[in-house]
Amino acid sequence: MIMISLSSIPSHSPAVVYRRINDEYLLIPLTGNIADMDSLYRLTETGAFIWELVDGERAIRDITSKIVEEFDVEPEIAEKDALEFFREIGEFLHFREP
Amino acid sequence: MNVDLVIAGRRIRLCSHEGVIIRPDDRFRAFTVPEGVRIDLMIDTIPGILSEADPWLTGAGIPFMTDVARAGQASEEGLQEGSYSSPGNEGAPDLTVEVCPGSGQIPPGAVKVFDAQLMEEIPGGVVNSGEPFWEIFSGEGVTCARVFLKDPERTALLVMPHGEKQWRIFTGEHRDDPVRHQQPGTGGDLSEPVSDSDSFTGQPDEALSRKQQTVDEALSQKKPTVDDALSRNHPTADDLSEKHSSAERALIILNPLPYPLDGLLLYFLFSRAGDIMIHGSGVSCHGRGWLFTGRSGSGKTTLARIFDQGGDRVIHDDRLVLRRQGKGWVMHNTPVYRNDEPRSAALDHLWIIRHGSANVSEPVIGAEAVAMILANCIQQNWDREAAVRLVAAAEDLASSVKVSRLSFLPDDTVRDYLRLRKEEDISVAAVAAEAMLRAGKEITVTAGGYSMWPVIRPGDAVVIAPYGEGAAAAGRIVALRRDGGFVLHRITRVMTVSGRELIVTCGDAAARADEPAGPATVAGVVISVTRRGRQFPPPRRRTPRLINRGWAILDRVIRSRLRKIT
Repeated sequence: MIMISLSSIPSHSPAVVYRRINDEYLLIPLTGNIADMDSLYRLTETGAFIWELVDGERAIRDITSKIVEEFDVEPEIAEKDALEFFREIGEFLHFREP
Repeated sequence: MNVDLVIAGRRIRLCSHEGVIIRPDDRFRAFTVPEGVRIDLMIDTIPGILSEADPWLTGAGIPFMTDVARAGQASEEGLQEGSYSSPGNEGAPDLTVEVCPGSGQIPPGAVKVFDAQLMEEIPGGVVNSGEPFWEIFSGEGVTCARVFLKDPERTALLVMPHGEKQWRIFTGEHRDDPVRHQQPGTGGDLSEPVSDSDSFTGQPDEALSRKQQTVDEALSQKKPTVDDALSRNHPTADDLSEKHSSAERALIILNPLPYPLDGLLLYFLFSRAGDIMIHGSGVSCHGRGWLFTGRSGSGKTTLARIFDQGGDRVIHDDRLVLRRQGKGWVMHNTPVYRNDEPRSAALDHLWIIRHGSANVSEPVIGAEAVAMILANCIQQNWDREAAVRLVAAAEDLASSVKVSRLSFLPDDTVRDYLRLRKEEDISVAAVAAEAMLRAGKEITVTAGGYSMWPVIRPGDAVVIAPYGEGAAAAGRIVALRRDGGFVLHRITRVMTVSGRELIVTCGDAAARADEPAGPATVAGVVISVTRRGRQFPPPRRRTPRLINRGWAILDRVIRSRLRKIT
C-alpha cells in the first residue's frame, strides 16, 4: 500500500510511457524483466483529467479542488476517490511531501 | 563471404572474414537472396566490441569496400545491381551484420537492463526455470544482446551500436573448437541446432508441438559438410582452396543466427525501424488480409488451420511483422519454421480473439484498440524510445485498419461468419441508420463506449428515434454524427447565438463538453435503453462519483505471462 495523503505531491514517474489517444490515456510501465511486463493501463476521460493535473507541484488536495470544480461531486467523496485513484496508479507516479 | 537475407522486405547482409563460412540454418533458406547474384564483399571494421579471444580480427582489419567500389566490382563481374529476385530488396542493405566466432565481450560500462529466463513446460503449465535465456545490456552508444545457447558453455552476442546500420554477431563458436574447426573437404558439423524451439523465451504455446516436430525433422537431417557449404556458396571449394593457398588452413563454419539470437536481431531491427512484431495468425482471405492475435491459447493456430483448410493463404500462424508501407499496413512472416517462405499481405482487419460460444465480431476503436494491440506485440519495455515508437505505431495501425474483438467457435463456421458477414464498417452501418432515421423510422444500435457510463453501457441496445424540430432540450441523450458513425452524448445546454441554435453536448462520464454545434450534427434522439432484457427510458444523469477506480481507470490490460517476448 502506497502511503499518501492529501498533502502528497504527485509527479509522473520517468518509468512510464504515456500517450493521450482521443480523450483517454494509455500508461505503459517500463520494466527490466519480462515477468514484470504484464499489464498496461487505460485511463478514462476522468482519469485523463486527473493525470493532466499531475505536474509535480500540485498536492492531491489541490487536484481534488479542481475535480470538485469540474465535476458535480461532494468534496469528501472527491478526496476519498482521489486518494484511491492515486494509490491505484501509484506505480506510475512519484510522491513527495511538501 | 556474404549472405543476404530479405525478411519482411528488409535486407540483412551477413558478412564474414576470410576463412569464415556463414551458413544460416534451414529456416532462412527461402529468405536468402539466390546465389549467383551475391557479391563477395568485405566490410569495414564495424564499431563494436571485439573479443580478446579473437585478436586475429582486430589485427587483420577487414578490407573495406564502399558502395561505389562495390558497384564497380559488381559491374566488372557482370553483376547488376537490382538483379536480386526477391521483391522490394534492391539496393543497399537495411542492416549489415559482421559474423564472428567467439563469445564477444560486453562493452565496459554497459549494464544489464532487461533479461528473460528460460520457461519450461511442465504438465499443466509453464514454469520459469530460473535459468538465464537472454540478457540485454545498454551502454554508451551501444546495446548488446547476450543469449545462452543450448551448450551451457557457450553464449552468443549481438552488438548494436546506436545509430549504426552495421552490427556484429559473435556466434559463440570458437576457432579452437575441434567440432567446428574443419579442414576443407573433411566434413563439418553444424551442430548448432537448426532450431531448438521457435519460442524465444522458451515458452511453449499452442504451436510448440508443431515446432518441435519441425526441429526434430531438421535435426534428423544429414548434417551439412564443408563441401555442402562450399557448393552452396560462391566461390567454389577449389577457388577457395587456391585463394587461401594453404590447404591446411582451417575453415570455420558459423551459424550466424543461433536461436534465440535470430529473434532478438529481428526484434531490434524492426523495432528501430518503427515496425511492429506481433504474435498472431495472418491469413489472406479473398484478397483481404486478416490478422488474429490474442493470448496464448486463444486460438491463433486453430484459426490459421481453419483458414488453411478453407483454401486461404496463411501468411503465418505464430509471428508476424507489421510495417506501414504506403497508405496502409502490410503483414509479413519471418523465418520461424523450417519450411517457411516469404509471405505478405496488405492488412485489412485485426481481430483480438478468444474462444466463445458463438461467432461474434465487435469493433474496437481508439485507446482501447491501441491497448489491445500493444498487449499482444513483441516488446521490451526497458527502452523508453522503443516503447514510445511502439505506442505511436500501434496508434497509427489502429487508425488505419479495422480492429475488432472476435469470439469464435473453433470450427469452419467462423470462416464463413467472417467471410460472409456484411461489412460491419461503422460507416456502412451509419449510412443505413441515417437513411432509416430520415425515413422516420426508429433504429436500434448496440452501444460500444463508456462515455455515457453508467446510464448507457457497452452492449446496451439503444433505440434511437428521428430528431425532430424542437427536440433539442437539455438532459436528452442524442446520437451525434462523428467519424463516420454515431456517438451518444447528453445535451447539456441549448443556446442561440446570432440567431443560430447551438447545442452543447457532453458524455456523462466525460470531463469536458463537446464543442457547441448546430442541430445538423444530431442524427437522432435516444428513446429507450435495453439491458439484460429490461427496457427502460433513457436515464437522467446520475450524480457522478466519477473518480474511483471504476471510473478513472477503465482497463488494466493484462498480458499473458506466457507471452513470448521476441
